[in-house]
Amino acid sequence: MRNLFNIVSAIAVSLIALAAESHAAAPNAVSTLEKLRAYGKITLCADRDLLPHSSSKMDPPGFDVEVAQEVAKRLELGIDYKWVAAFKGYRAIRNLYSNDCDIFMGLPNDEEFLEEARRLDVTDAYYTGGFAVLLSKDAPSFDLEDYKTKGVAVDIMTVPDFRLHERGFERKLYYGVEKVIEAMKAGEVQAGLVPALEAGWAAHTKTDLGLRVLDRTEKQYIYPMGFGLRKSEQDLKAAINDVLRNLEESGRLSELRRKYGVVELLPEDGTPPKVANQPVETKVAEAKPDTDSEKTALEADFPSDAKSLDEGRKLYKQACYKCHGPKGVSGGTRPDVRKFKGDHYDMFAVVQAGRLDYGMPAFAEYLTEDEIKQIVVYIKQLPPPEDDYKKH
Amino acid sequence: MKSRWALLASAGTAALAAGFAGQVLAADWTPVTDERLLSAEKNADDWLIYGRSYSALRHSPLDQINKSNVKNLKVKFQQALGTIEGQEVTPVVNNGIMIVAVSHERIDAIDVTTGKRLWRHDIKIPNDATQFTCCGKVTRGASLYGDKVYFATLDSRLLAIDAKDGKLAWEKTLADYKAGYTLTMAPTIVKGKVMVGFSGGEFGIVGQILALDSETGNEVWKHRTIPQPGEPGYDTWGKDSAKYGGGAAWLTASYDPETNLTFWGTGNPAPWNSDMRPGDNLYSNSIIALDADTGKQKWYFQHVPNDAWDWDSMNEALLINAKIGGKDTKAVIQAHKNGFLYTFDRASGKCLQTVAFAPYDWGNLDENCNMVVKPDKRPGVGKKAYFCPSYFGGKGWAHMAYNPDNSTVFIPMTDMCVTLHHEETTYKKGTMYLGAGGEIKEPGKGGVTAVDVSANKVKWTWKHNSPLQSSSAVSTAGGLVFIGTFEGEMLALDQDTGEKLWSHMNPSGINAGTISFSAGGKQHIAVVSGYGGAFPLWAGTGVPPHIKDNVNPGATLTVYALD
Ligand code: HEC
Repeated sequence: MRNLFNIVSAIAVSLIALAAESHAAAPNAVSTLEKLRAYGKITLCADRDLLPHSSSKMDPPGFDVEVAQEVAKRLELGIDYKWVAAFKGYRAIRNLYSNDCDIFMGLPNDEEFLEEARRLDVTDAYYTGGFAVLLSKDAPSFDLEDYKTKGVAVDIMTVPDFRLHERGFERKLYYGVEKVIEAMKAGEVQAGLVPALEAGWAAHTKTDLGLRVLDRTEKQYIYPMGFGLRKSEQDLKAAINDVLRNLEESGRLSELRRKYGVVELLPEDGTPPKVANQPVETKVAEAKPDTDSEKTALEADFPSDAKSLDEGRKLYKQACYKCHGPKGVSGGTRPDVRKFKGDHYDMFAVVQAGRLDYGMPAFAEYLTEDEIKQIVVYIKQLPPPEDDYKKH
Repeated sequence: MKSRWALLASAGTAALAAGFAGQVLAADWTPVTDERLLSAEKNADDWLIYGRSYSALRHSPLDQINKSNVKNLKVKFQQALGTIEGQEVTPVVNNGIMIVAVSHERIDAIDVTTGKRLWRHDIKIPNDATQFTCCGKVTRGASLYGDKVYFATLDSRLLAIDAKDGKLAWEKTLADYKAGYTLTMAPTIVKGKVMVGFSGGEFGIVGQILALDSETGNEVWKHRTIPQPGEPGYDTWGKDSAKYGGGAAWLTASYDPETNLTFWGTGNPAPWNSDMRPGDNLYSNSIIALDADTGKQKWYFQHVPNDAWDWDSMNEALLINAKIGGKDTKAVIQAHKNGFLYTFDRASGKCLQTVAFAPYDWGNLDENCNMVVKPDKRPGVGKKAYFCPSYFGGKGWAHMAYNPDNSTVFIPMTDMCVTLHHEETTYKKGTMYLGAGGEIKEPGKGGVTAVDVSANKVKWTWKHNSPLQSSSAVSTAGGLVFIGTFEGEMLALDQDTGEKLWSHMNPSGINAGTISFSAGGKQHIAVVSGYGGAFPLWAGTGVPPHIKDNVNPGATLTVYALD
């Protein structure tokens, strides 16, 4: 489920948080690039553990991170990392809008996307991404149509999930490419339509599985992938575009693509994908939030059934209680987690990466993602601090 | 003829020798010899040992500040220590130089007459160290021996620091902090052996006490508090539970030169869920007497077999000579989390008497000092029990003080109850091994209870609207007890009546040890404030709202004296 394409799904993307934050972008007095140079660094938001995109362990750093490093270097900037839980597309928007970072890699330069994320812009592509056909070792055919009744694996809530449904395909739903690959290993499924970068990486690194990724896919599943940035910072966009052209010409970009097994997707009819390069007019009203779908999406990522809650409660006691207090009631020396300003995803990111310099441990090594989610769900349903001293 | 310079120089030396120096030099460090340590109880000027003397009485023979003039006590200087971590330190003072360990961040040597810093040693601990400990970056202090300052770090290293310049002489890694072995105590140092006991009872460690050579850091002996297969007592741990059995001896020990015994309290067995470890779980929740030279256990007394309440016996053991039951007795007194003060015979460990010093409701002690618990006061899996005192204890780790002149002990007291239940848990490295959940519904209260040990009776209780859970008392020959509160109030109580005679507000809450010493001919009282430690982390709604609303963290050293 960790991929950026939910954002362009058939279901309207929720922009509740964004609508609340929206304010007119003032024309920049000082150019963004000047400001960054003064600070010396550009800040990249990336998932702390989402290869081939990024990895805070830097072993390897990930495709996005290496491209960003090349770009920063050529802009004569250092690079700061802000590790976030990026497994949902709209995280990127949030992080950029709230100035957590300056760039967020791997956003589709796509009209539909940019219409949803009105205050964002996306640079030229540093690779062509989208959804690729992934085939198991024993898959008999290269034509997706041949799997129409047998079933095609998709990452739940992504574009193919909806499009294949519309086209009358039998779908098999999984959370993430990794789960799809497990299913292929177990012989549950032979073909999938999944995020191309992850698929390429799996084929590249898990060579024993004999996975195959097709570089041809339908046009509708192909997206030019660029750097996401704030729309008001056009000078930064132009500078990055220049550097990207340079990197492409020098062959450095294709070198990196090879290193990470990036599959360059081509449309089946041979015509190049449509690119939305023109800044879209800023409209006054942002997209209407679709609360129902927001709820469904949240529930899919952070299940709040009784069992998850109970697990969360127990894990909270094991891992968090000693600093944040029983049932989240802080005694005043550590933050009260119930007052945390942020959603489930923000909290997930804090718990995973920690704030080591301020005494908040990083739990990535000690808790699985599911465990962290269970804890987040538990914390998010705790009674508010105002009720602490009410008589029971 | 002498030059004016020479004249000045000699005047300076004379002043130093007479102890009226305007300025102290760290290079003037007076070696902390065995002899000085053994006679610390009589040496009124210094505070050389964590508990002031090997007997851990925390009683100062100084009487310059007394009941009639304490109202004139003033702040002599204050110094911000630059951290918001909780401060549980008892500073030590050697001939006008105070050594104060600031929460695993630094150790400062301070001239007590001027507040001037003589040196600073920065402690570097890994930034993930707090993950493996229950209660933050707390330390109870550094200890002195010879020309060195010894400090035990949270990530389980022993540092030997040159007392003259603050430079690291050597360090030794003692255990894997990522397996929960951490150090928060001020080492016990006896005859060239530096002894430390690991914290980590909430992380499934096996309690261990190490004695290390003070010159090299090499291990001289090691004592496990939890028997392993083949050792006596192993059969008191059902379901193979000794493996992560806890029993941490996490506070500084006392020492009796006559019997050559060191006295340690051991902590709770792990996990808190008692069904997971059927049996008595020896020697958790016990007082143990270990030979200082060999680490051999000479006697033990287990206060709480098969603990279901987190009633550690970690508390300090005070060595007193007093009339007990009318007879002159060399005794050990220990105040327990369960709300009772126990008196033991020092050589044999026989329990001589007990008396309650804090509100309790769980049952009673029989004539052999064994707990008889009401069935509904014992929590279990799926069985909630409400009981008092809570897991913070009628007395927490904060130390009591004993005045030999009136055979009275002054106990910092917590009055708080909890509802607790147990649940299954699995050992998971890097997280806590508890298997219990609780709720403290009513904000905690507390106070100071004075017990006449010879009479085995409570004399008075000074009551307060917050627990005195981690603030240690000092008794003085001036008839006073000094102690701080979570609110930050430094108090002087009348030893005879418990009446509050003086108080002063500190910038933050006090959860550390107050000390008394003399310098420049003047008696001083000193304390480090800085709200933190276990209480705000673990008590939840047990933290009184007025503290949550008003007390900010932030460490400050305050030194008081009469004008
Ligand atoms: C060793 C102590 C410790 C443990 C254990 C711990 N935390 Fe924290 N946590 C902290 C501290 C200290 C901070 C404040 C960091 C700062 O100043 O930014 C913090 C901050 C946070 C924040 C951000 C709060 C805010 O409002 O900005 C969240 C959320 C959080 N912790 C959740 C958790 C969860 C969930 C767990 C258990 C998996 C946990 N913490 C375990 C010490 C701890």
